[in-house]
Amino acid sequence: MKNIIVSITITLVAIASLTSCNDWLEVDPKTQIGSDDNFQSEQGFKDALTGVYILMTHEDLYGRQLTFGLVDVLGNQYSGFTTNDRNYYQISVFNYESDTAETAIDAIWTAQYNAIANVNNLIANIDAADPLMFENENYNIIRGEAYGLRAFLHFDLLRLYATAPASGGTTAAGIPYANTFGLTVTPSSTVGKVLELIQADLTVALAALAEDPVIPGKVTTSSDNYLRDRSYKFNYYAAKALQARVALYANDKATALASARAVIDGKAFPFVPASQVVVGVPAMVNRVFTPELIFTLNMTNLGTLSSTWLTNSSTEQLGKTPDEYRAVYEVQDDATAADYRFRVLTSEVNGERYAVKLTQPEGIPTTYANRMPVMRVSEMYYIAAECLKDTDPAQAIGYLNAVRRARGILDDLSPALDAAQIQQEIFKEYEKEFLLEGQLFYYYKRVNAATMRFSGAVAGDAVYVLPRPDNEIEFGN
Amino acid sequence: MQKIFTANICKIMRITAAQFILLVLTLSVAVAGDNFAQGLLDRKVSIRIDARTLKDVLTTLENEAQVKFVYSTSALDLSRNISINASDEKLGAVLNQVLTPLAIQFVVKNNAYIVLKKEKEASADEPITDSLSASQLQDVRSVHGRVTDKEGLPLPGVNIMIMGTTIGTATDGDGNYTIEARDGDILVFSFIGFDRYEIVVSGDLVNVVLNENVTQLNDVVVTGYYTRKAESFTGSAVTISKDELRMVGNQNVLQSVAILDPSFRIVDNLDIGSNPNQLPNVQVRGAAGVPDLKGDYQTNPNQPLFILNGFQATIEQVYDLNMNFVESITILKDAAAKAIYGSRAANGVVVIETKRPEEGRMRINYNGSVDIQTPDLSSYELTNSSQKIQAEQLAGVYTSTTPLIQEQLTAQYGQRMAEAARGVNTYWLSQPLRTGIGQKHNVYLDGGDEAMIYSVNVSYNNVKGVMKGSDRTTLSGTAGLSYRYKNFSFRNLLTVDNNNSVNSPYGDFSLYARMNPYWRIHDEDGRLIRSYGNSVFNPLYDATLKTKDFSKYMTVTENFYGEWAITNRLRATARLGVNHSDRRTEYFLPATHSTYANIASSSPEYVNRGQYTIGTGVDNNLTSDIGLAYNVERKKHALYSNLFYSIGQQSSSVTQVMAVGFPNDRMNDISMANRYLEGSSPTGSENTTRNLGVTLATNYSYDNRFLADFSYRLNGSSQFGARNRWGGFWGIGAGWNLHNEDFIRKLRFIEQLKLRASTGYTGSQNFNSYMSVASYSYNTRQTYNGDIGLALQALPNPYLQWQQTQDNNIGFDLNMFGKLMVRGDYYLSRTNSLLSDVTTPPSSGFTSYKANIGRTENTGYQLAVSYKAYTSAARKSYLNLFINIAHNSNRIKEVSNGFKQLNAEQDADKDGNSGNITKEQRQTPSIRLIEGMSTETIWAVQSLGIDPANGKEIFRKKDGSLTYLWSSADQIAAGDAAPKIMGSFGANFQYQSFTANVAFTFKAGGQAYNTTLVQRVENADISWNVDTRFLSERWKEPGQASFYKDIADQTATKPTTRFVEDLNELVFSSVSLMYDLRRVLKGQKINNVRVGFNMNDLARVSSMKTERGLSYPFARQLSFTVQATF
Repeated sequence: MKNIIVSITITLVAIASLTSCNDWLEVDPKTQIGSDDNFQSEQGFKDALTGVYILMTHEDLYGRQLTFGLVDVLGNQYSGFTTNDRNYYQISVFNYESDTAETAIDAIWTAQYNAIANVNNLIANIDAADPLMFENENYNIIRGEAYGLRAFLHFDLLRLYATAPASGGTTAAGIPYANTFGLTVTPSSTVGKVLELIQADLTVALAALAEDPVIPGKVTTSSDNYLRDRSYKFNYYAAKALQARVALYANDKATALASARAVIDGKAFPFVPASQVVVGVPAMVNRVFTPELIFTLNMTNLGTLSSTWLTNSSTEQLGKTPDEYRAVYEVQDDATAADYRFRVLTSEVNGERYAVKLTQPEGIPTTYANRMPVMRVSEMYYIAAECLKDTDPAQAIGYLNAVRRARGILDDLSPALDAAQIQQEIFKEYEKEFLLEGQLFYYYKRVNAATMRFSGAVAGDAVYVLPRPDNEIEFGN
Repeated sequence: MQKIFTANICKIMRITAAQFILLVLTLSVAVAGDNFAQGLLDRKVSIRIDARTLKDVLTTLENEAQVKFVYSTSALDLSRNISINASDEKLGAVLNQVLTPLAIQFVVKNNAYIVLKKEKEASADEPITDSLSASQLQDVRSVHGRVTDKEGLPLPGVNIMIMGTTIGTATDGDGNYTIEARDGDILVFSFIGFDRYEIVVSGDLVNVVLNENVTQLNDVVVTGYYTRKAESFTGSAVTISKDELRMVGNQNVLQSVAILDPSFRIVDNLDIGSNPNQLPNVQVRGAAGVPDLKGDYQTNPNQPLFILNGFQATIEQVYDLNMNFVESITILKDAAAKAIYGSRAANGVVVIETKRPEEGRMRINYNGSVDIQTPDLSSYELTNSSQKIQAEQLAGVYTSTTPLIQEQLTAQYGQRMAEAARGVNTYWLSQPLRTGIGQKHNVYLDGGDEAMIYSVNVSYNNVKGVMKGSDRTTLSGTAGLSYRYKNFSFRNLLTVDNNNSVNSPYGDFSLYARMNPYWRIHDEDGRLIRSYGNSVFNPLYDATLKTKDFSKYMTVTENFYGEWAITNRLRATARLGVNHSDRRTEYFLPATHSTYANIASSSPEYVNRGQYTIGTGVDNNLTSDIGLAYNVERKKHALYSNLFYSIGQQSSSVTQVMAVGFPNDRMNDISMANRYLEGSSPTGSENTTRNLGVTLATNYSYDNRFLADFSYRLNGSSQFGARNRWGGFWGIGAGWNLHNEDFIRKLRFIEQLKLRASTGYTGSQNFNSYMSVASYSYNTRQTYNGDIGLALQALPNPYLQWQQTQDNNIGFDLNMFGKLMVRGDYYLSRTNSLLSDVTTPPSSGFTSYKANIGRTENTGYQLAVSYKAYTSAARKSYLNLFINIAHNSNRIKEVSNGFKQLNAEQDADKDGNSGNITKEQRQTPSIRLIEGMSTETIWAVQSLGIDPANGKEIFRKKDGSLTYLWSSADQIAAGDAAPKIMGSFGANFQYQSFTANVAFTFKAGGQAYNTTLVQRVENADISWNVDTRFLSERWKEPGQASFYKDIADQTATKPTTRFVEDLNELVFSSVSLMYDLRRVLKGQKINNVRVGFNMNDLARVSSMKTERGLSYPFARQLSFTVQATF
């Protein structure tokens, strides 16, 4: 007791006399880590960045709603909803004012901006940090990923909550582009301004990621294995691919084409070989075509999610009638269907057909498992095709055929297709390729389609623009 | 400065620790003998004389004290009748008591005899030396000596005057003095807080021990850091002595204080009743903050600050404190009084001092009591078997349109009727109850000489609640030691508390209140019936299992005080408090518990039945301060000033694990678990706060007429935002002692009349730590490709600061004829910067953050009147009457948008009929924070009663129209749960050896929502037992005028003014009787024995009839006490 008291006293008084009063009043939580304290080491930056990826795997974000959930429901990738479906019925009929829809839509906004807040705090700290604290290229890579993620996260918000440039132009109200973490409220910017800011962040990201080991020929000298599995991170090509995606959305076809080609020609993401897809043992199928994934999220609960939402046994299953699937994949006869995406990645149970892309059967190789696709290389082919459909239709068709062949489709597209027909083929590809990946709705919105397939509703901004939360509107956003 | 402090503290600590060991080793032999070097006047005498002549008294004293009195029989009236009763008191004190009223003065001559003379002889005109020996002719010479208190600590700054002259000096830092005087001169020693002392000079050395003015506790205000003379203090503070505390109860300190001072309010909680393991919710002068709706606070946001022996204490420590160990309690209410506690003081400060050891031969003091608690079920009015069956029939329980079911129901009805006819009428309420018989024991011993004084206190307190098996046992030991080294003096207090709180295995009392009376407890074979069908289980069966539900803590507190008298006016003090607590809670239910009765053996959860939860916690607190005290009295000016620097750290951490799978109650150890609770992992939290402060407190008085107080504290805390770490808190007070003005003095009947006024700012900060900093937390449940990630926890607010309360107070103290004492205060407190959630656009990453927005205002008055209706020294009897009244009104002036949103969310929940909240919550008014209203406003929709035509309730909408539909938009302020006026009154009576005290408490002018009527009548679930009014008063047929809605209507009755009732209440709170056995025991070794008897909460008259004690019943309390001194 005596020693304890004496030592406590000495410590206490030593602290009080050696440090200033304000330092003494600076207390760092133990079960939590003070932000300033965390960013004293490289590990803190790594952990904060990992934290952002984990936030993105939340079901309100890319863990469900922004991949196979809400966005695919909006894109009519599923059918057969009844008023008993508590989660998605109101969303499937675009009744955004209903309680269930509003709750889901508000949650996406809030969670996405929460991830952005985490990125912003990381960026603020890494910009102020000493690069020498980091091993080799880690400083630049972490910084590049953070800037890239900020652009990525904002872009999806823009695609959901603001009018598309094709409909409202670039001067329409956009979203707040939050680039600081704190009490200051970021006002809403126009769509054009947000697109500009996204490209600006991407420029920073691409510069910082120039030495990304994902780029063929670049070899990491880091010993800590931090730069493993780059497709799990927002790597150089993810930034490039996003650049293409954003440019096409903004109808800047030159940039879109250049960026898409940069990814394709980088050859870092080859098409999946048939040998990984057409295999007898279902567990051994490479369901998400891993070699093609530019950016994918690691989700250890993917199997549970898939069986909760995407099977017949669940109460709120997301599926489509077999006929609808056949229409989408242009299949006459299931037995002879060539397209892997139908043959292998959908499965019929009790008169409904379900996507099994995300199913995690027992024995699935770890190299295929627990990957939620976010960006894949095929989209770059589609973007290139779309950019070239007017100026060089043959090359455009060539890009589309490349994907079709990789999917097992034996018949190439006719080289005589006109621009409109090419666009129609691109649409069909989005529909087939991005099942469970959420991109179809964004396609409809980007081209400002007047109708959506399998939907009786007239599409338009009432459908394409989700309402932002009331507590956001309250602040003038 | 700090380095010096370090060195000193370390040195002091080493000495302290060494002394401790010494104390423990030598305790048994450390019995001090009589001090043979004592002066005549310090000799101890015990004398007891009733109405005999002065001459007799003096003769007795001569024998008792072995002294000689010298006096002139012609000058003194020796035939006056006198009564005196002294036990082990100093002769000087006894003589003062006897002679002062007779205007006779006494002086010691040559340390051999005592001269008595009429007081006027000692005036300046007639030097007392005149008639005395030849010593007057001697030359003036240097007399020196040392002045100490009874503990032997030197007293610096003691005023010494030669009587009849203006020659004077004061003691230096060591208590030493030198004065030029002659033999035979009388030296007068005076010092604040001590009795005046006179001694005749004989010889060069005159050492003096001053007696602390303990009998005049009320004349001193104890602030926890220092004491101030009450006469010159301008703050609003109430001091309660140990005797007053005991007069009104034997339960716990909080309960007694609440009876004695109505501004100290224990907020009603009908739920927890008299559960000994539930800490009360306390507030002083109303609620400055808003209710903790979101768990932002560490404790009740309105809880006052408790200071125990100078160091911050938890409400639990105070609750478990043995009342017999308490010396005094001071409640600091206004800014002038509490500003020294800065950012912690806004809710008021309660300063508790425990007994201080006294010098002398060892005394042993024993206090014991047997405490009996009996359940008070008078508020319950439940149906009996036949009434219940009748009620069920009326409610349509036994009717069905399906013939097959009708057949079954008829059979069931027949069975139940048969049971009732057989006399089955189980009184379930009494099943889990008992008469709790607890015990308290307290042994205190102290003694020592002027160099070292020791004390040891051992307390045992066993509270037995009225539910079987609900116990709270506290065992505490305290060792105190005071000692002196040159002009340093030290005091050390080491306390160990061990508490064990066990909750009743019978579970929640409401489980019994709802059981139907026609159910038997045992079957024909005498075995407990487990189930009554439909998932209804016998709660008594669960009570037979070896469940566990307890918590325990062990606290070690070390308090150290050091004082260094630098000069005669300047003293330096240092204090160090270290506190360490270990806590543990365990909760265990085996698989056989009825909670799990519905899990089928085929279910995978079957093996996971049974649950064990263990929580452990550690608290470590450290407080230290160093201070300087400067006192100066010169001519008519008196200045007392204290400056201190304090530093502290409070940290606490808790961890909890939950395991499942305990097949039976013999496997009652967590190590036998099947697994952890699915999806759970160890949880825990940690909190560390640090604070720093510099405080200046000054009291100035001019001629004891004009008074002023000024306190300032510069306070920093880690809980506040980086931009707002430091805050200044202050209080100023002014006072005017009118009774010292000639024009009042002439009135004669006014003995005291003081006017006081004060204002100032204090803060409160008991919200959770870390709200102001950006912090990350690891997500331990998910990895990302093998890596672990961090997530931001909240939007930090670097501007976050304490809640600020501005207190304005005016008051007066009046004493007329020495009989009527009146104390009045009026206050206005404004609290700003309430901690609240402020909503922010979610694009900032979070939907809200903590900020200081919101204001409340409390105004009120307090009046305390006491009247000595009868006093007779001769008969040793008196009768005192007292009444205390307090009024407080609370207003919310501003709330944040976060609270507005919360109001809206709650309203939306109430409007709905399913989802987020339970039926019970839907039936209870919500706490809505609306500007201009009180935080305790009861919100309900205005009701016009039940439509006799259809049994539906008619509501009046805000626009005046009528409707059957309840809407949250129509809610009005239907009442205020805070009473308009509350108080206490009573009497203290003594006749010779017998004393009696009674106290009543009352409250009036408030309202309450009668949830009993809602839940057991209006919305009663007929499958459970109901209030008798369910049967008699519900609407049953068209045309019937009824207070209650249609008996067949099962929907939730949402808050309606129909159930808002006025709550006026008078409680017979306490009665205590005490008998002093001294006369009986005369001549025995025991000095003093008193036996007594206390009762609490004897009776209650209320304007509202509602069930009280829902989860735990209320109890009536009765204690038998014994006090003995050896």
